[in-house]
Amino acid sequence: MVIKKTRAAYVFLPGKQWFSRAAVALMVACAGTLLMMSKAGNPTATQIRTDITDIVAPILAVASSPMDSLHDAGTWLSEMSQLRDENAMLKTQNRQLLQWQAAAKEMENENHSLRELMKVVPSQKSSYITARFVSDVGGPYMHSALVNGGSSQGIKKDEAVINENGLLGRVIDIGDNSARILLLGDINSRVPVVTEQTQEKSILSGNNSDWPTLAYLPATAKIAIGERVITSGDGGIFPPGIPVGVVISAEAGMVKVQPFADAAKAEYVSVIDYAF
Amino acid sequence: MIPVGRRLELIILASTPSLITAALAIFYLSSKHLSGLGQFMPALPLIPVFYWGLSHSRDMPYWFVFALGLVMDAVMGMPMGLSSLLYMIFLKLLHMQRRFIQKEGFIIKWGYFGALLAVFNVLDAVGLAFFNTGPMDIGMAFLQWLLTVCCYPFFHKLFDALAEHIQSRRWHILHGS
Repeated sequence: MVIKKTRAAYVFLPGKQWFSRAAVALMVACAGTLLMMSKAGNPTATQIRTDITDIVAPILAVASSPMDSLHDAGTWLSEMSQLRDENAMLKTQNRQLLQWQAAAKEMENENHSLRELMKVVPSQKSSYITARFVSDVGGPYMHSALVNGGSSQGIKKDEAVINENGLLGRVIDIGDNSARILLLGDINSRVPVVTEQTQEKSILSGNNSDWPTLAYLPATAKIAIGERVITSGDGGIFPPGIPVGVVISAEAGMVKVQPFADAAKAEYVSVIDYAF
Repeated sequence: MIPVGRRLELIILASTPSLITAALAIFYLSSKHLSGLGQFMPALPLIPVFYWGLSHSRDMPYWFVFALGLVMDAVMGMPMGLSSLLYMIFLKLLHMQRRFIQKEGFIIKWGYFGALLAVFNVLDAVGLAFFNTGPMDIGMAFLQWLLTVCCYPFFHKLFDALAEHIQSRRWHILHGS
């Protein structure tokens, strides 16, 4: 096919090419500027991010619903197959729990009278907001996810996020209808924790793997494999006593923790409004 | 003069590659509830960017990959602007070699995709290391690269068929009876 160039083409084509190159250069400059603004922690970059996530979160919520249904169906099927065994186990557990309930009531009364005696300032109760994970955990280098709730639903920055198994992370960015959760495994995640048996305080530090490590442990600390790790409440962001994970290895000064909650499998989560 | 209906069809045909890329990006970003998958899920949006950028570059404009990168950054929690920059570098590198690669066979194109994706991943790791002030573990990124390269042939064949259909429809609208 022979393409005939008209006089207009000779006049306008170089201009169009120049405009196209200038537009690409402008976009590269925009991306570079945004990158520098992100590095500097400029609030405009954060605002752009939250505006985009507010728009995209409802689309992702719709897109993830077929996978949610499949996930629910899989869970239902596996539960059905284990129903008989589970029922027997629950009956046994129920008998044990009834005994514990009686003991707990007795202790609650005792605790109440001791608090009255010592004039202890009561800690404020936490409230919970339920939201749904709408994005995946963020590629090979990032461990964060979006939930479909934001400031309109009462979620605030730095609030702890849990599911039925334990701590998942905390809110780091907040939009009107979406929030970003920094998960325990992210390299930027730091959570004050304490080991349940030995009562050693440390910081659970993310390393972009599935097994965050305990940092700032005393040199004399003796942590056993299998020991549970819970939040210490230090710093006032995370309420004390939330189950975090279990120690899976303690070698050469590096203590690895397997979190109880798997963010990739999580669907509904609770955001804790904790008043320090 | 092309009737309005036909003109609309031409617009839809022209935006099909962008729509496919957006759909793959949404699938890539949405929650799949499979433990660990999110960390090495194939980088699906880069496959149509490569395919259409190589064979029909006008259908994969820079502004689209810029916007796609911004959405990826916002949803994945990456530093804003990083993916936009990398996507544009990816497309620019592709356009620079386009005239040499375009007429080559599938294997060469596949190999070039693998090489370009490796460059993309390395730049991504370097950019994030700069932000997180520490080296990144590239184990999962390597796995992601491998899976993406393995997925490429399937999408290439699929897009070949689609591109042929788009071309024939366009020709029919512009030159047909």
